[in-house]
Amino acid sequence: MRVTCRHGHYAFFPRDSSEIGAFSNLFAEELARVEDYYTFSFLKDAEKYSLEAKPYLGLPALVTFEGNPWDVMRENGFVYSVGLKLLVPKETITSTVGVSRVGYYSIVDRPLIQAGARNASGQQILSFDGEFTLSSRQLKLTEFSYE
Amino acid sequence: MSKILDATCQGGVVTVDEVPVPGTRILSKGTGQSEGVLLVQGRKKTYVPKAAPDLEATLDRLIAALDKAVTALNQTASALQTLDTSGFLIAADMGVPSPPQVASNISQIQSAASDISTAKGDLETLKGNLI
Repeated sequence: MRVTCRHGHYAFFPRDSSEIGAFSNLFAEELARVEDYYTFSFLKDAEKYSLEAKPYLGLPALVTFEGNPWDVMRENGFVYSVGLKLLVPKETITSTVGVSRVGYYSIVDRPLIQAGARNASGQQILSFDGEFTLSSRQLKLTEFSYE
Repeated sequence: MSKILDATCQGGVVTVDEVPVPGTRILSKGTGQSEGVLLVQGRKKTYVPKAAPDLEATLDRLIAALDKAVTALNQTASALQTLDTSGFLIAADMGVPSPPQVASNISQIQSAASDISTAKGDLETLKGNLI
């Protein structure tokens, strides 16, 4: 199943419905359908705009901005916390992630990267695109970026 | 794509749900209170007012006043016309009423009433075109 994270907003693209069910069981988290992708239930109602000082998914927005939910999150510096199942400021993410290059892919040391997790230099991975293999519970990244 | 939100503006401050939205471009003087919409596209914010309630109310009062003026002028012209053509019997003229003396003045009153009526119609059109 393809997994993308854009500026802290997760999107899943299953090839068949069984992948969604299997993922939900693995992570004990329901995924919700939004337009042409699935995402975490908490992000389902993410608005396509934010108003400065008004709550955006529970956090006071820092800017007034209109755009896709991941662009709104980028402008406000928010990411989704997989563990807390909440939106949090990206600065609060202190977890680390190890990324290794293997052939044409990059392999990470966990099934899913928490958006904002840091490499050894402290840089945060806020966006990535990869393939999650349910049988091996492994995430192969085709691309990722530090911000 | 842009987002449209109901908003208000007063004293140059645009507000959505009682929360100020700083840095908004206002498409009006923005000094009086108005209701309108906030357009947000990316980081750009633009406030567009709906028809100013005070302007619409002023036009209503003006139209009503002109309506009264037209009615009064027409009544005046009619009364004067009655007096002017009623004349008085002159025995020497075998009861033939005297000719009108101020027909031209009465005509000018009627013409003024007509012009005011036209202006009133223009104001009603303007009011209908308020956005």
